[in-house]
Amino acid sequence: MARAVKRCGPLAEDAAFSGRKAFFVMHLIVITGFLGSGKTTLIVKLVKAAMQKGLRVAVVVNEIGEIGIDDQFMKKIGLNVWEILGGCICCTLAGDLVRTLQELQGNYSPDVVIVEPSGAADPGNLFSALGMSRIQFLTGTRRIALLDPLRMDMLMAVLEPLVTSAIRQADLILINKADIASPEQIEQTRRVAADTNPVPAVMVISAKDDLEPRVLSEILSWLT
Amino acid sequence: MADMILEPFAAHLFFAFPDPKRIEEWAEILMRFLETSAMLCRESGPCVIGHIKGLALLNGSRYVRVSVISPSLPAQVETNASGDLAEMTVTLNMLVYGLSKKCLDGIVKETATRPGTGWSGRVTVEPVAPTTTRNHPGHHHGC
Repeated sequence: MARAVKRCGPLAEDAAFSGRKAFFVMHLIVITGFLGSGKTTLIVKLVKAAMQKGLRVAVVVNEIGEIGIDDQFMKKIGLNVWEILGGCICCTLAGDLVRTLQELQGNYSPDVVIVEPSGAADPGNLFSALGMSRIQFLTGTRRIALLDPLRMDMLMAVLEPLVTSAIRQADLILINKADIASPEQIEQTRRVAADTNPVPAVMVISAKDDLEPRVLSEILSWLT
Repeated sequence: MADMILEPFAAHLFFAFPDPKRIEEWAEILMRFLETSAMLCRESGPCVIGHIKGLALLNGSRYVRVSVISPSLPAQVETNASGDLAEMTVTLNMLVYGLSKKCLDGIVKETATRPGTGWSGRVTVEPVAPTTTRNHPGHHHGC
C-alpha cells in the first residue's frame, strides 16, 4: 500500500499548483511539531482510534533524512503510509504533497488523511503551499501543533521561529509528555502558546499512553 | 539558529554478540548507544539535537524503536518484541543542528568502539549513501 513519492519540480512550474481547482471529500489533519515532540507516537494512536470508528485512514509522512524511520515503523505496524522523502514538504516538495493527496483521493479514497511534516519544517510555509494548491477539502483542515515542554526553553532560545510558526498556524495545541514533564515546564509551555496565539484550545497529553476520550473527541469528532 | 547547519545523517548499525541477548537487554544496549552518541554530540561543539532515532525491524510485526532528543534526557525505547537474539540491524537517523554529516559519522563510529559503554559485542556502522536532498536555502535547514 505504501509508495514513495520522489519527483518534484519547482513550485512555480508545478502542475499541482496550476489554476485547476481540485475538490476533495477527504478530511485532512496536519500534525506539526519540532523533531522529537512525539508526532509519530500521536499519529499511531489517532489512526487506531479513527479506524475503530470505521474510518479509512491514510498517513503521509515527510522526513528530511536520507532514510525514513517513521514511515518504516508505521508500515511495520500495519498503517497505510505514503512517504515523501528527500526534502521538505513545506518548500521544495510542496508539489509532491499536493500530488500525493490527489493520488490518495483517486486511488485509495480515505475518509481522513493525517500528514506528518518533518519536524524541521516551517508550518507557515506548508499551509501557504496547501492554500496555493487550491485544494478544497470538504470541511477544512485540522491544524494541530504538538509541543514538547521538556525542551521549550531551549527551543525558544535557538529555534523560536519554528516553534512560534507552529503555534500561530494551529487550531488545536497539544502539550505532550505530561508523563515526564514537570508542572512548571507544562505551565511555561502554556504561556508560550497563549502569548503566541491565544485562540486555539490547549490540551495536555501523554501521547505514549492511551489518549483520553476528551482529547480524541476534540481531534476526531469533526470527522463524523 | 541561522548559523546552524542541518545535515541529516543516517546509517545502518549491525550489532552482533557471541551469545543471544534478551530483548530487554537489547533495549538497554540501544538506549546506551544513543545516549552516548548524544553526549558526544554535545562534546563536539554547539549543537541542538533534533532527534537521534533508531529502529530495528524484527520478524513479523515486531520492532524495537529507540530515540533520544537531548544528552540531558534518557533515551526512550518502545518494543513489542520478545525472545532472544544474537544479532540486530538498526537503522539510525540523526538530525542535529550545528554538526556536519562528517562529524556525526565520526560520532557514531566512536560510539560503536568506545570502551566502557557496556556492549561487549561488535558494532558495524554503515552510513547510508547520500541522496539529493532538496532543502530550500535559508530558514530552517541552514544547509
